[in-house]
Amino acid sequence: MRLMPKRVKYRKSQRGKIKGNATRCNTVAFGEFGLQSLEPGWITAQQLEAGRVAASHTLPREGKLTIRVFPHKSVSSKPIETRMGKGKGEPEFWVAVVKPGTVLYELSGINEEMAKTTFNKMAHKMPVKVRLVQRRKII
Amino acid sequence: MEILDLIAEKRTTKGSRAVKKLRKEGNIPAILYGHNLDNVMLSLREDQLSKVLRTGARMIRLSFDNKKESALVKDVQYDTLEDCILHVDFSRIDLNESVTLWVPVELIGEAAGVKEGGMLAHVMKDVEIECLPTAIPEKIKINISELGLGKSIHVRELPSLEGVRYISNGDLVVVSVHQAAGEKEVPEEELLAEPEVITKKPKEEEAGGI
Repeated sequence: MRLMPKRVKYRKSQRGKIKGNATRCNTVAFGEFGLQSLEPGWITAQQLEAGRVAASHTLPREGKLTIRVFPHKSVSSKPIETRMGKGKGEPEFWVAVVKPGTVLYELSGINEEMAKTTFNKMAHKMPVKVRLVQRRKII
Repeated sequence: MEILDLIAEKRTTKGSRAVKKLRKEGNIPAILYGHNLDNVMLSLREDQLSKVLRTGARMIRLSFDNKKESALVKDVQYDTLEDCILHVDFSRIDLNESVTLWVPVELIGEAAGVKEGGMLAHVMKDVEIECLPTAIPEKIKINISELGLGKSIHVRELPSLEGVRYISNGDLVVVSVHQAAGEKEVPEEELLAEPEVITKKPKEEEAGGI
Protein backbone atom coordinates (compact mmCIF):
# COMPACT_ATOMS: atom_id res chain seq x y z
CA MET A 1 0.00 0.00 0.00
CA ARG A 2 1.29 3.44 -0.92
CA LEU A 3 0.92 5.71 2.13
CA MET A 4 2.10 9.11 0.96
CA PRO A 5 0.37 12.07 -0.69
CA LYS A 6 -0.13 12.09 -4.44
CA ARG A 7 0.41 15.85 -4.72
CA VAL A 8 2.06 18.28 -2.31
CA LYS A 9 2.54 22.03 -2.30
CA TYR A 10 6.10 21.81 -0.98
CA ARG A 11 8.38 18.76 -0.86
CA LYS A 12 10.03 19.56 2.47
CA SER A 13 8.39 20.68 5.73
CA GLN A 14 9.63 22.13 9.00
CA ARG A 15 9.62 19.78 11.99
CA GLY A 16 6.97 21.59 14.04
CA LYS A 17 5.91 21.10 17.64
CA ILE A 18 3.02 18.96 18.85
CA LYS A 19 0.98 20.89 21.40
CA GLY A 20 -2.19 19.95 23.28
CA ASN A 21 -4.69 17.16 22.82
CA ALA A 22 -6.60 16.15 19.71
CA THR A 23 -9.78 18.15 19.23
CA ARG A 24 -10.79 16.40 16.05
CA CYS A 25 -10.56 12.79 14.91
CA ASN A 26 -10.85 11.87 18.61
CA THR A 27 -13.99 9.71 18.60
CA VAL A 28 -14.86 6.36 17.05
CA ALA A 29 -16.77 7.34 13.92
CA PHE A 30 -16.82 4.44 11.43
CA GLY A 31 -16.52 1.23 13.44
CA GLU A 32 -17.37 -0.10 16.89
CA PHE A 33 -13.88 -0.13 18.38
CA GLY A 34 -10.94 2.22 18.01
CA LEU A 35 -7.24 2.41 18.85
CA GLN A 36 -6.61 5.76 20.51
CA SER A 37 -3.24 7.39 20.93
CA LEU A 38 -2.32 8.54 24.44
CA GLU A 39 0.88 10.36 23.52
CA PRO A 40 1.94 12.92 20.94
CA GLY A 41 4.24 11.68 18.21
CA TRP A 42 4.97 10.90 14.60
CA ILE A 43 3.74 7.64 13.09
CA THR A 44 5.59 6.74 9.93
CA ALA A 45 3.91 5.31 6.86
CA GLN A 46 5.80 2.05 7.46
CA GLN A 47 4.52 1.78 11.03
CA LEU A 48 0.96 2.44 9.88
CA GLU A 49 1.33 -0.24 7.22
CA ALA A 50 2.86 -2.66 9.76
CA GLY A 51 -0.20 -2.12 11.96
CA ARG A 52 -2.52 -2.83 9.03
CA VAL A 53 -0.65 -6.03 8.11
CA ALA A 54 -0.72 -7.19 11.76
CA ALA A 55 -4.48 -6.65 11.77
CA SER A 56 -5.02 -8.50 8.50
CA HIS A 57 -3.19 -11.54 9.93
CA THR A 58 -5.37 -11.62 13.05
CA LEU A 59 -8.73 -10.48 11.73
CA PRO A 60 -11.35 -12.94 10.58
CA ARG A 61 -12.70 -12.41 7.08
CA GLU A 62 -15.74 -10.39 8.18
CA GLY A 63 -13.91 -7.71 10.20
CA LYS A 64 -13.29 -4.32 8.59
CA LEU A 65 -10.35 -2.05 9.42
CA THR A 66 -10.35 1.72 8.88
CA ILE A 67 -7.16 3.80 9.09
CA ARG A 68 -8.06 7.22 10.48
CA VAL A 69 -4.70 8.99 10.04
CA PHE A 70 -2.60 9.68 6.94
CA PRO A 71 1.11 10.52 6.63
CA HIS A 72 0.93 14.03 5.20
CA LYS A 73 4.26 15.28 6.56
CA SER A 74 7.61 14.62 4.89
CA VAL A 75 10.70 14.17 7.04
CA SER A 76 14.07 14.95 5.52
CA SER A 77 17.50 13.83 6.63
CA LYS A 78 21.09 14.36 5.57
CA PRO A 79 23.14 11.47 4.18
CA ILE A 80 25.68 9.94 6.58
CA GLU A 81 29.24 11.29 6.68
CA THR A 82 28.13 14.61 5.24
CA ARG A 83 29.44 17.93 6.52
CA MET A 84 26.92 20.38 7.96
CA GLY A 85 25.52 23.05 5.70
CA LYS A 86 24.79 22.80 2.00
CA GLY A 87 21.08 23.08 2.62
CA LYS A 88 18.29 20.87 3.91
CA GLY A 89 18.43 17.13 3.27
CA GLU A 90 16.19 15.18 0.96
CA PRO A 91 12.78 13.82 2.11
CA GLU A 92 13.34 10.32 3.50
CA PHE A 93 9.96 9.19 4.80
CA TRP A 94 6.42 10.34 5.50
CA VAL A 95 4.74 10.63 8.90
CA ALA A 96 1.30 11.24 10.39
CA VAL A 97 1.37 13.81 13.21
CA VAL A 98 -0.59 12.41 16.16
CA LYS A 99 -1.83 14.16 19.28
CA PRO A 100 -3.07 12.48 22.51
CA GLY A 101 -6.66 11.41 21.86
CA THR A 102 -6.34 10.79 18.11
CA VAL A 103 -8.07 7.61 16.94
CA LEU A 104 -5.58 5.78 14.70
CA TYR A 105 -7.52 2.71 13.56
CA GLU A 106 -11.11 1.53 13.80
CA LEU A 107 -12.57 -1.95 13.62
CA SER A 108 -16.10 -3.04 12.83
CA GLY A 109 -17.99 -6.29 12.32
CA ILE A 110 -16.21 -8.21 15.09
CA ASN A 111 -16.76 -8.86 18.80
CA GLU A 112 -14.89 -7.16 21.65
CA GLU A 113 -12.66 -10.15 22.37
CA MET A 114 -11.44 -10.24 18.78
CA ALA A 115 -10.97 -6.46 18.73
CA LYS A 116 -8.82 -6.67 21.88
CA THR A 117 -6.59 -9.36 20.37
CA THR A 118 -6.20 -7.46 17.09
CA PHE A 119 -5.50 -4.08 18.67
CA ASN A 120 -3.00 -5.68 21.06
CA LYS A 121 -0.97 -6.91 18.07
CA MET A 122 -1.28 -3.53 16.34
CA ALA A 123 -0.27 -1.65 19.50
CA HIS A 124 3.11 -3.40 19.38
CA LYS A 125 3.78 -1.74 16.01
CA MET A 126 2.99 1.76 17.24
CA PRO A 127 5.61 4.24 18.48
CA VAL A 128 3.13 5.79 20.94
CA LYS A 129 1.12 4.47 23.88
CA VAL A 130 -2.36 3.49 22.78
CA ARG A 131 -5.57 2.11 24.24
CA LEU A 132 -8.79 0.51 23.04
CA VAL A 133 -11.87 2.73 22.97
CA GLN A 134 -15.45 1.83 22.15
CA ARG A 135 -18.01 3.70 20.14
CA ARG A 136 -20.19 5.86 22.38
CA LYS A 137 -23.94 5.67 22.39
CA ILE A 138 -25.59 8.57 20.56
CA ILE A 139 -25.83 10.48 23.82
CA MET B 1 -38.90 4.73 26.91
CA GLU B 2 -39.56 5.80 30.49
CA ILE B 3 -38.95 9.27 31.88
CA LEU B 4 -36.28 9.31 34.58
CA ASP B 5 -35.99 11.83 37.40
CA LEU B 6 -32.92 13.93 38.08
CA ILE B 7 -32.33 16.42 40.84
CA ALA B 8 -30.58 19.58 39.68
CA GLU B 9 -29.46 22.81 41.26
CA LYS B 10 -29.59 26.24 39.72
CA ARG B 11 -26.18 27.80 39.27
CA THR B 12 -25.28 31.42 38.87
CA THR B 13 -21.56 31.10 38.19
CA LYS B 14 -20.36 30.69 34.64
CA GLY B 15 -17.12 30.70 32.73
CA SER B 16 -14.35 28.14 32.45
CA ARG B 17 -12.82 28.82 35.86
CA ALA B 18 -16.12 28.45 37.75
CA VAL B 19 -17.05 25.36 35.75
CA LYS B 20 -13.69 23.70 36.49
CA LYS B 21 -14.28 24.30 40.21
CA LEU B 22 -17.74 22.78 39.86
CA ARG B 23 -16.34 19.65 38.22
CA LYS B 24 -13.75 19.28 40.96
CA GLU B 25 -16.59 19.15 43.49
CA GLY B 26 -18.21 16.25 41.60
CA ASN B 27 -20.82 18.27 39.76
CA ILE B 28 -21.50 18.61 36.04
CA PRO B 29 -22.58 21.92 34.49
CA ALA B 30 -25.72 21.76 32.36
CA ILE B 31 -28.12 24.08 30.59
CA LEU B 32 -31.85 23.93 29.99
CA TYR B 33 -33.28 25.83 27.03
CA GLY B 34 -36.11 25.97 24.52
CA HIS B 35 -39.80 26.82 24.16
CA ASN B 36 -39.06 30.57 24.07
CA LEU B 37 -38.35 30.61 27.81
CA ASP B 38 -35.22 31.85 29.53
CA ASN B 39 -32.18 29.60 29.58
CA VAL B 40 -31.49 28.06 32.99
CA MET B 41 -27.95 27.16 34.03
CA LEU B 42 -27.92 24.03 36.16
CA SER B 43 -25.51 21.77 37.94
CA LEU B 44 -26.04 18.04 38.42
CA ARG B 45 -24.38 15.40 40.57
CA GLU B 46 -21.99 13.45 38.34
CA ASP B 47 -22.78 10.02 39.82
CA GLN B 48 -26.54 10.49 39.40
CA LEU B 49 -26.21 11.83 35.86
CA SER B 50 -23.91 9.07 34.62
CA LYS B 51 -26.21 6.45 36.16
CA VAL B 52 -29.18 7.90 34.25
CA LEU B 53 -27.27 8.26 30.95
CA ARG B 54 -25.94 4.71 31.20
CA THR B 55 -29.52 3.42 30.95
CA GLY B 56 -29.79 5.06 27.52
CA ALA B 57 -32.57 7.37 28.74
CA ARG B 58 -33.33 10.38 26.56
CA MET B 59 -36.27 11.83 28.49
CA ILE B 60 -35.50 13.39 31.85
CA ARG B 61 -37.71 15.06 34.45
CA LEU B 62 -35.55 17.75 36.02
CA SER B 63 -36.46 19.00 39.48
CA PHE B 64 -35.00 22.30 40.64
CA ASP B 65 -36.31 25.32 42.55
CA ASN B 66 -39.37 23.38 43.73
CA LYS B 67 -40.56 22.76 40.19
CA LYS B 68 -40.31 19.99 37.63
CA GLU B 69 -39.61 20.29 33.92
CA SER B 70 -39.54 17.59 31.25
CA ALA B 71 -36.51 17.76 29.02
CA LEU B 72 -34.79 15.86 26.25
CA VAL B 73 -31.06 15.17 26.51
CA LYS B 74 -29.93 17.12 23.45
CA ASP B 75 -26.17 16.86 23.73
CA VAL B 76 -23.51 15.45 26.06
CA GLN B 77 -19.92 16.66 25.84
CA TYR B 78 -17.27 14.16 26.87
CA ASP B 79 -13.58 14.50 27.59
CA THR B 80 -12.22 12.00 25.08
CA LEU B 81 -9.07 11.27 27.06
CA GLU B 82 -10.39 11.23 30.62
CA ASP B 83 -13.71 9.56 29.71
CA CYS B 84 -15.75 11.92 31.85
CA ILE B 85 -18.76 14.12 31.14
CA LEU B 86 -18.00 17.82 30.67
CA HIS B 87 -21.39 19.37 30.00
CA VAL B 88 -24.99 18.43 29.22
CA ASP B 89 -27.61 20.24 27.13
CA PHE B 90 -31.29 19.75 27.96
CA SER B 91 -34.06 20.91 25.66
CA ARG B 92 -37.48 21.69 27.17
CA ILE B 93 -40.25 19.65 25.66
CA ASP B 94 -44.01 19.48 25.68
CA LEU B 95 -45.17 15.89 26.09
CA ASN B 96 -47.83 16.49 23.41
CA GLU B 97 -45.39 17.89 20.85
CA SER B 98 -43.30 15.65 18.60
CA VAL B 99 -39.51 15.73 18.84
CA THR B 100 -36.73 14.91 16.36
CA LEU B 101 -33.83 12.76 17.50
CA TRP B 102 -31.33 10.07 16.45
CA VAL B 103 -31.93 6.49 17.55
CA PRO B 104 -29.47 3.56 17.23
CA VAL B 105 -30.10 0.76 14.74
CA GLU B 106 -29.61 -2.81 15.99
CA LEU B 107 -29.11 -5.78 13.68
CA ILE B 108 -30.67 -9.11 14.64
CA GLY B 109 -29.59 -12.48 13.27
CA GLU B 110 -26.85 -13.49 10.86
CA ALA B 111 -27.23 -12.41 7.25
CA ALA B 112 -27.66 -15.19 4.68
CA GLY B 113 -25.19 -13.39 2.42
CA VAL B 114 -22.42 -13.62 5.05
CA LYS B 115 -22.79 -17.44 5.08
CA GLU B 116 -22.31 -17.35 1.29
CA GLY B 117 -19.01 -15.52 1.72
CA GLY B 118 -20.13 -11.89 1.65
CA MET B 119 -19.17 -9.02 3.96
CA LEU B 120 -21.72 -7.26 6.13
CA ALA B 121 -21.51 -3.46 6.07
CA HIS B 122 -23.49 -1.68 8.77
CA VAL B 123 -23.39 1.76 7.17
CA MET B 124 -25.92 3.75 9.21
CA LYS B 125 -25.59 3.04 12.89
CA ASP B 126 -28.16 5.69 13.87
CA VAL B 127 -31.27 6.91 12.15
CA GLU B 128 -33.17 10.19 12.61
CA ILE B 129 -36.80 9.90 13.66
CA GLU B 130 -39.72 12.11 14.65
CA CYS B 131 -42.15 11.00 17.35
CA LEU B 132 -43.90 12.00 20.54
CA PRO B 133 -41.62 12.11 23.61
CA THR B 134 -43.63 9.31 25.16
CA ALA B 135 -43.14 7.04 22.13
CA ILE B 136 -39.36 7.25 21.70
CA PRO B 137 -38.07 3.76 20.84
CA GLU B 138 -34.89 2.61 22.58
CA LYS B 139 -33.51 1.26 19.29
CA ILE B 140 -34.69 0.27 15.83
CA LYS B 141 -34.32 -3.49 15.44
CA ILE B 142 -33.79 -4.95 11.96
CA ASN B 143 -33.87 -8.67 11.19
CA ILE B 144 -31.13 -9.33 8.65
CA SER B 145 -31.34 -13.14 8.55
CA GLU B 146 -32.81 -13.04 5.01
CA LEU B 147 -30.36 -10.46 3.65
CA GLY B 148 -28.60 -12.14 0.73
CA LEU B 149 -25.36 -11.36 -1.07
CA GLY B 150 -25.53 -8.07 -2.98
CA LYS B 151 -28.70 -6.99 -1.16
CA SER B 152 -29.20 -3.99 1.09
CA ILE B 153 -31.77 -2.49 3.43
CA HIS B 154 -32.62 1.19 2.95
CA VAL B 155 -34.15 3.66 5.41
CA ARG B 156 -37.51 3.37 3.60
CA GLU B 157 -37.51 -0.39 4.28
CA LEU B 158 -37.05 -0.05 8.05
CA PRO B 159 -39.81 -1.58 10.20
CA SER B 160 -42.67 0.84 10.80
CA LEU B 161 -43.26 1.62 14.45
CA GLU B 162 -46.42 3.16 15.81
CA GLY B 163 -46.14 6.95 16.08
CA VAL B 164 -42.60 7.02 14.63
CA ARG B 165 -41.71 8.74 11.35
CA TYR B 166 -38.28 8.37 9.75
CA ILE B 167 -36.68 11.71 8.90
CA SER B 168 -33.46 10.37 7.34
CA ASN B 169 -33.46 10.16 3.53
CA GLY B 170 -35.31 7.00 2.48
CA ASP B 171 -32.73 6.15 -0.21
CA LEU B 172 -29.84 5.88 2.27
CA VAL B 173 -28.44 2.38 2.83
CA VAL B 174 -28.61 1.19 6.44
CA VAL B 175 -27.02 -2.23 6.03
CA SER B 176 -25.76 -4.22 3.06
CA VAL B 177 -23.96 -7.45 2.22
CA HIS B 178 -21.35 -7.24 -0.51
CA GLN B 179 -18.57 -9.35 -1.96
CA ALA B 180 -15.27 -8.91 -0.12
CA ALA B 181 -12.84 -6.99 -2.33
CA GLY B 182 -9.35 -8.42 -2.57
CA GLU B 183 -6.28 -6.28 -1.94
CA LYS B 184 -5.11 -4.26 -4.91
CA GLU B 185 -1.60 -4.93 -6.15
CA VAL B 186 0.31 -1.68 -6.41
CA PRO B 187 3.00 -1.61 -9.11
CA GLU B 188 6.57 -1.17 -7.87
CA GLU B 189 7.06 2.06 -9.86
CA GLU B 190 4.12 3.67 -8.07
CA LEU B 191 5.53 2.69 -4.67
CA LEU B 192 8.81 4.42 -5.41
CA ALA B 193 7.23 7.46 -7.08
CA GLU B 194 7.67 10.86 -5.46
CA PRO B 195 4.61 13.08 -4.87
CA GLU B 196 3.90 15.68 -7.54
CA VAL B 197 4.87 19.18 -6.37
CA ILE B 198 2.17 21.72 -7.27
CA THR B 199 4.30 24.84 -6.80
CA LYS B 200 7.25 23.53 -8.79
CA LYS B 201 8.39 26.14 -11.30
CA PRO B 202 8.80 24.98 -14.89
CA LYS B 203 12.44 24.77 -15.94
CA GLU B 204 13.64 27.91 -17.65
CA GLU B 205 14.07 27.46 -21.32
CA GLU B 206 17.67 27.04 -22.26
CA ALA B 207 19.37 30.05 -23.77
CA GLY B 208 19.20 30.31 -27.53
CA GLY B 209 21.90 28.83 -29.80
CA ILE B 210 25.25 30.43 -30.49
